[in-house]
Amino acid sequence: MTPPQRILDARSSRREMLTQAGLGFGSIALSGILSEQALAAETSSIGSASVSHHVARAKQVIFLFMEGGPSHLDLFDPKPKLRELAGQPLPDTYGPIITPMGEYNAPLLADKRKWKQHGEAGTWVSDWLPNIATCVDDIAVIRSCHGNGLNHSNGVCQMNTCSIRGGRPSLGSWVSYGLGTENKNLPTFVVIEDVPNKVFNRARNWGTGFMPATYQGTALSGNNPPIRNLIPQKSIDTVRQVRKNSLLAQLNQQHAKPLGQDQSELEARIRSFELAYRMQQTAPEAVDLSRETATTKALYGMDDKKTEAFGKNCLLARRLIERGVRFVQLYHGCGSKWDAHTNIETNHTTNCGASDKPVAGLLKDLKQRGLLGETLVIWGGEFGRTPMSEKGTGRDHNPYGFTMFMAGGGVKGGQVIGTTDELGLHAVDDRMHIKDIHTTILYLLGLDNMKLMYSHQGRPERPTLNEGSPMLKLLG
Amino acid sequence: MFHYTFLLAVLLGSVLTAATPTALYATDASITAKQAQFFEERIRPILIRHCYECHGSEKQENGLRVDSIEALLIGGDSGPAIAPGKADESLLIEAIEYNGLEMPPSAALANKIVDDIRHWINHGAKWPITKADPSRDLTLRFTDEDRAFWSFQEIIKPRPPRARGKNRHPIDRFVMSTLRDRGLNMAPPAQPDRLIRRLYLDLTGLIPPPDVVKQFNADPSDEHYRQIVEQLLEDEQHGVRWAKFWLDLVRYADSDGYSADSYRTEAWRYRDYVIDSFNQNRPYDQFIRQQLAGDELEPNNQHAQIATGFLRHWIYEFNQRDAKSQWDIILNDITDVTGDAFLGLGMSCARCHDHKFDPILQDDYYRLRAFFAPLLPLDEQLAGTPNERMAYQTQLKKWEQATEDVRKQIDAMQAKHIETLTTAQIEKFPLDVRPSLYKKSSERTPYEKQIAYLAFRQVQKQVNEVDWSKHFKEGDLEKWKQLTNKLKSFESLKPTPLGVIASVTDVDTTAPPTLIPNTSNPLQPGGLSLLDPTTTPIVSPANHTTTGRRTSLANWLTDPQHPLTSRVMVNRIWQHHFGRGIVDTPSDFGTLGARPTHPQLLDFLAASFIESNWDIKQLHRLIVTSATYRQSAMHPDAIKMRQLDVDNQFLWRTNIRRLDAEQIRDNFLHVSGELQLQLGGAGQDVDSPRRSTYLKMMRNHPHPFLLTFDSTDGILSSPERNTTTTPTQTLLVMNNAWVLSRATALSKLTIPSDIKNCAKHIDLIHWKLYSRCATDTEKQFARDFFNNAKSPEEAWTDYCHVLLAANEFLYIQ
Repeated sequence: MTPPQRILDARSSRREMLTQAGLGFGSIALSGILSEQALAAETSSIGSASVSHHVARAKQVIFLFMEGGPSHLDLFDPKPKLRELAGQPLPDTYGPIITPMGEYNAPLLADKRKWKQHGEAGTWVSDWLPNIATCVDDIAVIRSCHGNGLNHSNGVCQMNTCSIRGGRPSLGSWVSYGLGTENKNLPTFVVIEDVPNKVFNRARNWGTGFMPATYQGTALSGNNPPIRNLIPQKSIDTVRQVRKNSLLAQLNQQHAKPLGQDQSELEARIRSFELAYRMQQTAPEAVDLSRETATTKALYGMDDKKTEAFGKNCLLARRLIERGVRFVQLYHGCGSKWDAHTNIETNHTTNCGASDKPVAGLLKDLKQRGLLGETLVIWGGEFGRTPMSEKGTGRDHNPYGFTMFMAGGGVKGGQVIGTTDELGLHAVDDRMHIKDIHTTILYLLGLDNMKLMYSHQGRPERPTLNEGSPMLKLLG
Repeated sequence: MFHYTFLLAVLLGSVLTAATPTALYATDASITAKQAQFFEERIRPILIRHCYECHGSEKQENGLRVDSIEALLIGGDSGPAIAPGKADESLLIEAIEYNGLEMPPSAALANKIVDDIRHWINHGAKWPITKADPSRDLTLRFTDEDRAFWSFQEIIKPRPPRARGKNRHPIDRFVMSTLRDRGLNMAPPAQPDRLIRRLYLDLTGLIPPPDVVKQFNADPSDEHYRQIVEQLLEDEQHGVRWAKFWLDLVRYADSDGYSADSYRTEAWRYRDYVIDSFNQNRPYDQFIRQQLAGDELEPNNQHAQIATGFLRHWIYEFNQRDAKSQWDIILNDITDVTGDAFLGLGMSCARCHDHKFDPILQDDYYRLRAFFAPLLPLDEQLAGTPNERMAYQTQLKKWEQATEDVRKQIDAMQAKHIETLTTAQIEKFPLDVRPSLYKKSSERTPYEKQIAYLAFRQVQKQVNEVDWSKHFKEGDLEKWKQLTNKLKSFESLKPTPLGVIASVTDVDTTAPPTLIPNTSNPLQPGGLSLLDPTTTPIVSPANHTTTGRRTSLANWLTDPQHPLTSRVMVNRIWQHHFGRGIVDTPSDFGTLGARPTHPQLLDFLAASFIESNWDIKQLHRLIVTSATYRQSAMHPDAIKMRQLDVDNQFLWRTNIRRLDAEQIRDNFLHVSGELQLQLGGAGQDVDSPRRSTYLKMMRNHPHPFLLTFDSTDGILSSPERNTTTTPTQTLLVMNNAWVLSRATALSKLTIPSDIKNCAKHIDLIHWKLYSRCATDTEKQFARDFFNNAKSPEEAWTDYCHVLLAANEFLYIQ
């Protein structure tokens, strides 16, 4: 095995760096790449990234993506005025609004929830999320999120990449690139879908765009095998596999020998076989929920049909975080299940019912295991929903103002940040664009959105498209 | 975050002359940290908040902008805005004190703020310019340095340096001279079998047949080599291989992108056009001209119509109500790709502001975009040969005549609902779009026609999706069923569809205006201002139905004098032979891009390329016949060479390169005897045994095998592939069922009757996979492997699989 100082050798080529970084020597990956970028920067004087610009508060991330757009108006952002004006059209003072379904002049729709203030901080949460409500003192609710994606594809894409069009690395990729992994036997960035192959934009959401595939998300499930191609085909037993691996090693050594000591890519590939083999040993254990107690499973709602599926995924997330996976993204409602264009009552009753307890269980479990301090948990969808009704009983997409929440990872719980207007249509105070949200997440991880750079075709590419500022109020 | 953009978007006549003294301030080193802090905390935010909106990069009311010291000193229509050191004599102070002029007009600034600004002016109006900031002094549009930048210089064909010895190949004379200057020297020639394997993989993407390699081993003469080169350049698989890099570059895909990611049934014709272009050796200038303006230049040439598919690859969202924004995104996308692919310049930075590092103005972005302003997608022209089309039309007419009556009746039944549906759909578009949708087509402005195109595509989709059998009730339903059954009875008369060509036209003979956002002066089409600040003369096309703008763009790009077009293309071809371009950033020939490692060689190749009438095959021929290309991957003095040139920038040996995704997949199928080599046709499904270039390229469902080996996503222009080494690749190669099937097929093809006596077969399989015989060591490995095998068949399959998974198979050396 090559000693690490070789990887850090500033004279090594960029390609070598990327290749070696791809091996999952993540903790040194960024410093390696950055020292190389710094060299490049000296010559082109574009300034360079530095490993971390400030103290990291969070080390790992769990992003709970409620796909389809949960309604902030019915969950975290109560609007008495909406009840007052229910049935009337949106007042002209709110200006012309483009909605994707284009139901113009639709009457305002009152929420039907029971609202209560919870926790010491008295955070408002509706009766749709009774379990998350018990965690509010660990949660910072952000009521002033906004973005540009009018449709799901735009919205999901922007929530992942800051761009509505795509072609750019996702947040998880930037974090992998910036921080690397702490467990070289598992992928750095893992994605778990509740319904496989249904999420809007599919694998593009965890892709790397122009960055090397090394940083892309790996889809993982609680099934066997948890990762595509992880396990040899049934016909190949262990004996056969070992025999094949050792022949392969012999051939590869033989091939590399005459090519000299300086073919680092060949060495890297030889080592990637060792890594893949270790992953085969490690990953099944990481996703093996049978090792969890009944109490833990119950905490996640795995003892109830309604919450079992997402409870499993939340518990998987905790196990991956324990094992040093850097960024875990969980999709709930893949295929836009939260998209309540009609009958929001049934829709949100189902989706809240399936996810509330698992999410709360995850927060509580992380906390009791001392993991919440360094794990940033993010909850939200690609947008919120309109105060105007759609088809009488539903709500259309609202990227102009919506709610997300963050917990752990240095975020001060028990607070509510930002406001929307009286009807919850537009974000007003402490507005946080999706770029600000990403900037804040990076900030908590000790990364500066303007210093984290990837040089692509000579252009310095940054995770938030050169915009965005961190919301420091979140830190308390 | 706010973008500090400093450059006058519209150059005022007086600026150039007045600007000279300001340079003093721009580089003023006398500013103290305290002054800088004062400015950043107290002055800049005030200017941004209260003044930029009307006097910034986008608007300059009364000719004034206040976003740089230079601009303040030049001032506006009333003269300089400030007099450094003399607040009382500064117009700015008069204005903010509401002393004559009243600024900002909404409300006077607080006294404290006015005092700060007075203080700042009285203390010399120091405006900090960060030294490390490479942003150009943007008040002057271009500096001498910009004009002198290498890639904008005229291409003058250099004379190759003198050669020592007998080598007369011009490429080698340039490369050797550079090597010599740096104390480096070239590696010896590659072994004949390595060379032929490399040549085959480069020119066709496929591993050579063992016989060809053996023959070349027997006669490795230059003449024999050249024969093989000629043969491969004529091989149709050459086009299949080389089309792929171009398809990456123009972000070709067979699907819409966004959420629905619908399959584009006609996109593949463009893919075939590209393959055909490389096979037919279409001159590069013609290749550009057909893609940009085939409809205007060669309206009767079907290939040229298909070529304009280049202008159709943008991602499309089927349900985007904000039609104006979507159209804006589409035109930007086309502009970006044109800049990337043909100019080798990242134009997209200049979309929102003048490029901070390259001499590309925001105007330039919109000047380039203006060439595409009148664009309109067209899906009407029939595909097929002239005979096929004629037969189709004749037959269609028969069907139309036979069904005229019944169709009329069905239409009459459906008309009302379609109308209702159309209105309902139109009402879902934003208020400022709707009125134009109710207009007759002839009453719409060109821009309204484009927006209507997008809107009615959505309307049509709704109409197409109506389930009429559910819509009609009772008696109507019966009647409708009868009619449709009757219509169906004529089905045999209906010709088989030929498909249509995804092409473009212009919306009108006049173009909609091209405006920089929030400005009101339309820009005319033009190239880079640095090269030519005038607007491009627009030719009038023979067809009299389009504007001629795209022809004019093609003319500008393919002008032999253009400093970028030829340099960028020869560099791309070079890049794909050597793994790296002479310029290492193939789509960025600007300031942030790499500098050429062999500038003279690049210019020599570019000039030769133009002289040869943009002959791409001639360029391949020139490159692969050089000793530079033919050298070994192993250098006897590698350690010393590496010390001097760790990256092998100067080509002292051949780089060992991993095969790209398509090469790996194709050759798995090739050696297992399963690869189907036929050309052309619609996109293939995931498991197709055709070459990977023909696989459906779905933007949201990238091919899992190709993606794992770093293929592209078809959303943005991609000039080069990443090469990663990941455990996912390893897992795929070792465990994937598809890979195992290839190993099994290979095993069946090669299995010996007696596994204990298989030396010949081991040789055979090495020839097949690695283009060489097996070494004694390898034979020993194999014997050991088979000795303790349970079943001979199983062991042979495993052996084949391991050989496929080994590095030697995955790398070109």
